Amino acid sequence: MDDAAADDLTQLLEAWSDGEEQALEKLAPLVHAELYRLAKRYMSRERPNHLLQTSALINEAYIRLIDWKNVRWQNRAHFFGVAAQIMRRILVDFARRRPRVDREQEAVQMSLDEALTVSSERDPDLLALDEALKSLAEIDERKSRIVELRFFGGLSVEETAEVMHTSTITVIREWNKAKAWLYRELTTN
Amino acid sequence: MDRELWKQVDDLLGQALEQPPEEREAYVARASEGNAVLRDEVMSLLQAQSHAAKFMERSAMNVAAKALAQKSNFTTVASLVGKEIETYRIEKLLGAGGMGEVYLARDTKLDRLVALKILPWHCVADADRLSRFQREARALSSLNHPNLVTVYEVGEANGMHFIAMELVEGNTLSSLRDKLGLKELLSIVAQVAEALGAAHQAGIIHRDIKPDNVMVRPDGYAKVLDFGLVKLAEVEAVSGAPGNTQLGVAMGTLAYMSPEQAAGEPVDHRTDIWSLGVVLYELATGRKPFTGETRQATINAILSTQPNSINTTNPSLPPDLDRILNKALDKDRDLRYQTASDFRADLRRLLREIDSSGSGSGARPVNTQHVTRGRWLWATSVCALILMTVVIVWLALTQGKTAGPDWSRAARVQLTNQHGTEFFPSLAPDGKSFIYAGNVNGNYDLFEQRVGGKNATPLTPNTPSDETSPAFSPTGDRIAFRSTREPAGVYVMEAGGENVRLVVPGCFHPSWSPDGKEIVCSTAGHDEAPTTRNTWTSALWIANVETGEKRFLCENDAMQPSWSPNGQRIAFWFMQPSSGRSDIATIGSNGGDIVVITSDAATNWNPVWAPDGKSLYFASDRSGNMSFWRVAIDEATGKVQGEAEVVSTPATFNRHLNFSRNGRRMIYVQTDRQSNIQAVKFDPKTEKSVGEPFWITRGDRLIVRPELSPDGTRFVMRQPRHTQDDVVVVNRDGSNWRDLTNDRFFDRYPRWSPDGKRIAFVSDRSGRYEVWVLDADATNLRQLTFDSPSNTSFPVWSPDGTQIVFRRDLVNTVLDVNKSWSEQNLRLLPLPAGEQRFLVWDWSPDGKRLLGTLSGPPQVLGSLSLDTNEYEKLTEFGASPMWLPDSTRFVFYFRRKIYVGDIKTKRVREVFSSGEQEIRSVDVSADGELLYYSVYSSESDIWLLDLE
Repeated sequence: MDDAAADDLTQLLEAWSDGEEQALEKLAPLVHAELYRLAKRYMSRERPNHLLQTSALINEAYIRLIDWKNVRWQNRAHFFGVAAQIMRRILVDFARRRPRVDREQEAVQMSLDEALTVSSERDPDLLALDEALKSLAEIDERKSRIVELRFFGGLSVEETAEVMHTSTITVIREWNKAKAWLYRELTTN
Repeated sequence: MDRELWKQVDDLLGQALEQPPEEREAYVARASEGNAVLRDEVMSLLQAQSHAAKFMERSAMNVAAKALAQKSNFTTVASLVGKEIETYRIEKLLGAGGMGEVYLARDTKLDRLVALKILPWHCVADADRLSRFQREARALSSLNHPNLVTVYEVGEANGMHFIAMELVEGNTLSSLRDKLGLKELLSIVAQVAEALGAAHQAGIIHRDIKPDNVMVRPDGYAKVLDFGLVKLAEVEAVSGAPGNTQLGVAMGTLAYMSPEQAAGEPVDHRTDIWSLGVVLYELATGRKPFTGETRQATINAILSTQPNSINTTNPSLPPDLDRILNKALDKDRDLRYQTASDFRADLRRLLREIDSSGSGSGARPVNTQHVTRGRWLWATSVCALILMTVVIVWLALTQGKTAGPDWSRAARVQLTNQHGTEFFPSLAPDGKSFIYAGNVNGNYDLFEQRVGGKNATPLTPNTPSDETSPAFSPTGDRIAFRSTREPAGVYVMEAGGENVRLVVPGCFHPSWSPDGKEIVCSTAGHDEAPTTRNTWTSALWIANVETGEKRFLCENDAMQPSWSPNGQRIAFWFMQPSSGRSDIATIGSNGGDIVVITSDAATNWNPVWAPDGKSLYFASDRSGNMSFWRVAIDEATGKVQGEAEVVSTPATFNRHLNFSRNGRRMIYVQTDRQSNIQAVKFDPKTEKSVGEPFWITRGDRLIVRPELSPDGTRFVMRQPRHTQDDVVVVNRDGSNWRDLTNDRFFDRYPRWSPDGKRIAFVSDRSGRYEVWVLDADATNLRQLTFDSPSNTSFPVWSPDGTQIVFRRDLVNTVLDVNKSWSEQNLRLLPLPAGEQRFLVWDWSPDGKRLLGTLSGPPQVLGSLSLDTNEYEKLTEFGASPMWLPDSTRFVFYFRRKIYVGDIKTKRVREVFSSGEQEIRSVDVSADGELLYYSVYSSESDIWLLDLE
């Protein structure tokens, strides 16, 4: 991401936290761009770095904006919190809009893909996950937030702990339990 | 699950997870102590947990990207060849790249071959952008411009977005590098400019003009591809991380970017003009004007480096080309060509100069034969580019259902290029020579010229009369034509111009019977498009060529007849009374029922039979441009046998077509029309013009009836734009053109309110023509009239700005501007006596009289007193009358002169003669000291489509 894009991103994040819905629409192309960059790497059979791409994206925007003068973010954690929320919305919207291929072709592709990444589990369906996460939020707000930060925001355990003002061990415990709950939710339906 | 229970579950699950895995179940069983619900919940979550190790390990971003990669991959993994998408059966992959794969496909419904581009997901992710692209594609297709690749459909099937478009045979302009002579190059670039002009007028910008996006057919036609497509892929550009150039805009495209584009500023249509300038520079010199080692260096060059003069590379290039390029490549877009048509006009002028100087070659060999004909080719090298354009080459296999030859494969040859109008060509039956009417000495004479020759031989020299509409007899030994000599009518002479004799007095537009014994002609004639015609009705007569004996064929309007090749029917065009539109019909050559061929809102005229008698060609503006169409017809019955299809030519106004006997050559007239504002100072005391007239605007626009704002700062006028008419304004000094309206509606007759704050006009934006009003800053558009029966026209303000008179179903009606329609107490003005109609042009500054035209024949000027409700005839001739500030005198024009009239003395005095220039409207400034008028000109040349 270049300077201009990072500036844009930060401004947009700021605007969004002020409740300007339009900012979301404007931010989406930036996120999409990053998505395509990643997708291209997948396509070229290069295994993308498992480390958190999303976090890198947001981090970069953040680091470039470390000058707080014009930034209303209370702190870094606040920034990440908002960013993760936005990412969730954008990615879920994206999944919702993304066209469906017919099942036969998908099956062919899936098996090809399985062959390449032998051990990997099937990835969750983002739409279903988003729904499940909403249900989780109803009974356990904190777990839902942690999932949002880690999975959608791409934050590390440490970063998540920072945002949530808690310890890393709590994040790990909560994350594991949330995963169990969500996994059950998504596999039993 | 309620929160209470969840709290317990969560706690127990947490504790269980602290235990070694093998002890967890036992732990839970113990801890739940007979609470079965709690136990089951935690057990099932433990179960889930044991499977969820890898679950959500990848971030959502990666999950989405991976899914995206799978979707993007599957088309290449599982080829689409042989599959069907909607009605398209995919036959072959033509090419692939960042903007998707392009397949050769057959539209099974219409049984035609198309190019089907499958858009990659990253191009369709943004729904807004996609729908904008779809809108633009539709708008462009509706222009039906021959230099634009037609997009048939932008659709979606099984989650795949596709564009079905015209299959173009030919090569990309980039593959013709070094193969084009200067004339070919200029012609191609002029065609691209023409296409851009049409698109820009429709409000659409290409944004990625480059040699890869221009296809050149073997016959020299240029076709512009992928309008606005780059916009769809823009997300790629945004992500352009340093050192990751494949994600940015492709390097190849960067070189064509305008400074504003390279700087990331908002762009307008002038970015395309720049890019086309770069294309022209590159192809003329073999070098790109702006290059650099790196991306940034290229951008710097675009932003700040002046390109070398083309003459340093190639001294043989004309200096005018250097000047044209400098103007196209001005870094300040306000100093660049402001419209693509201005650019095109300069290119065409240069072409004409090259032609007349007889050189016509650049440094390189000039020969279109160098263009590889019919080779299958697509530039796979371009696939490397992210924003690549696929080049489609297809040797047309589509013979069969058409009603005649495929003229798109014909060579296109310009036969005449004199200044002014050459029209009414008639091709000799052998197709080797032609006759036409041309204006050389102030009147029209007939000339003969060889196809391929340059010299025109006059056939009717030394006649002060106009000779027009010549027609070769079927054997080619005689010529029938119209002459205004005394007595005016249809004459016949021998092919060399000998033995001229009158055959049918008073007749126009002769057409021969196939046996050469008779001529059919119409009692009215009209040389321009039907819309400018005064509708007195025309009848058809058939006359024996030898004896002159006449028989009557039909009346109630029939114009410009064409006799069918087997003699059975005669085609003609006619106008419904006061409709302003015309349609085509045929009648048996011995009378009988009239069979109507077209019936639509378009202007359809100039019908001509194909030499085989199986179809009828005609000119029509149904798709925006005045193009040729043909429709299969049964000659015996006149029945239409199928859908009409367009015969594409690159021009926007075509007429007067004609064929050789074998049907392999078609001759026609291509016309470029423009109008500009000219002004001259005026002394109201002496009623004389002062000094020389001067141009206020110069350019290629076609504008109608400009009116100066009351404060004298700017003109408002109508600009017809193919499929829409818009209200535009320009500053008093001819600068700063801007559109007040620009949408698909016909906005006509704009008039300033007396305070200069508003503009009233007539528009069909509500579905029928009504009066609308708009603030001068293009805001606050509102509708003044509703439910007009028909023919609403000409809003004219009262001098105090409170009322508007407009004509509603032929009755002049006054409305109150400040009242809503339901509150209106409309005042209906009296009709003039007899059959006359009164069209109001101006309301006197003292408020007492309306000035206008009283319909004829002949049309005269008159006034209506609002005090006495009485009409008064003021002149014997004239058009466009406008008051002088004294409310007593008025200016008007007739033919090429401007006059002043006086309502008291009825005296009429000539003020000014425009010489050769054709005046189309006149008006005077509010202080009465500036006369301004629109000057119309058209350039008509004769062209040949050659299949031989």
